[in-house]
Amino acid sequence: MRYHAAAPILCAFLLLGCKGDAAKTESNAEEQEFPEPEPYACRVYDYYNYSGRVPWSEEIESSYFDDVLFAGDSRMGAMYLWGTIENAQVEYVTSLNLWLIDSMPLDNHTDGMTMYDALETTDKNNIYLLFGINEIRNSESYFDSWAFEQYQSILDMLRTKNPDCNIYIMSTYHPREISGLPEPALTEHLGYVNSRLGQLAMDNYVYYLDLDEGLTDESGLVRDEYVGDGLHFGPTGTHALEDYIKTHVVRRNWYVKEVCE
Amino acid sequence: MLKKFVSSILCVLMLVGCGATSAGSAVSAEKEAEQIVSELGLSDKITLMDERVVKGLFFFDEGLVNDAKLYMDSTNKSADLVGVFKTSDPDAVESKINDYLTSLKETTQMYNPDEVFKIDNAIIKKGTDQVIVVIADDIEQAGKIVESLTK
Repeated sequence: MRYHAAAPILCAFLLLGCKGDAAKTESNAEEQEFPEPEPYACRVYDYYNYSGRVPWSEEIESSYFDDVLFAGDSRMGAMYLWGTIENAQVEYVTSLNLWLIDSMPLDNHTDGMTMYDALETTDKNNIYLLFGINEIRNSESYFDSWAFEQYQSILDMLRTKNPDCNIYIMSTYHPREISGLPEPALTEHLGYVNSRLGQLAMDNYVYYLDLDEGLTDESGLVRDEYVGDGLHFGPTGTHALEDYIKTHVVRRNWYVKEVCE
Repeated sequence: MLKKFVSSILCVLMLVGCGATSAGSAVSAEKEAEQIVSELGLSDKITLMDERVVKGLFFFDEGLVNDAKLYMDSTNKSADLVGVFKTSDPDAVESKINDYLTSLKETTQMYNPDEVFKIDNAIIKKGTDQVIVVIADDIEQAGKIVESLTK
């Protein structure tokens, strides 16, 4: 009798035990069938249009210029002389020929430092380059080696040293006049330079800052009130240039997205 | 008879050899450029430029110049310059040099007008297989040296 009473209880426990295990197994199965999704591949998409000019944007905060180097020929000298962005580094060489970038000393240094030295040693992450006016009188084919060999070698050096730096190639804006190169040759030669600068920007995924967009009048020439000698900016022109730069900064996070699948 | 024939051949070969030596012993661009720089006392003012810079500045087409040496003030503060370019096409090289000088003059006029006079009086001497260009203060002495090298 005692045996008969114990048997059903034992069976019930066994069944319960089985059920408990079954539930546990079922739960594990659920977990195995629907595992927490894990990223297995991420890609970085860069939506920026490197074949176009840098678009307008809200004025950048002034602290941005703590991390900026402006480098160029005498036209950039205006930023040094008349500029109001005091926290940026400005380096320039009067009558700079790009082929002599590693031997011509910077105007605003007395230690013989060259433009190449300045570019090679800078720790700035936003670098603006303004070169090309002193070679403007050359023939069109000259600018192939000028741009795709010499300018390219400078971009390569900057990228090798700091792969993440943002480089802005500044176009050669249209002067009102330049000695020895009357119109229409001047316009033609500016086309030689700027077409190559645009190509360089596209090929190297760097930014092309089209200064003509912001600084010229209805005739396509740099505004008369901006330049004293037809080419170099005075105080008014320098401030206009600064305003243009401040409102044409590419925010990488707007264009570069990491997509994980 | 055979002895005479061999002697004649030997003489002819020697003469040909002399001729070849004479043609091949043309002074190198380096030596001529160094001589001009030294005799004009420009050693402390101008330096030898890299080959790629020479090509870039003057935009010489590939193969146009087979030996070239250029000394200039790499800081661009003075227009002093000595260039010796060996070429089989002196006219084309002269044309490229003139283009460079035109461009140099325009830039110098704007930034360093005191040097323009020297550029205006640059010596460009074209020989059968070379072109020499000199920009220096002592134009007269430079002219004499270049003349002696291209005789």
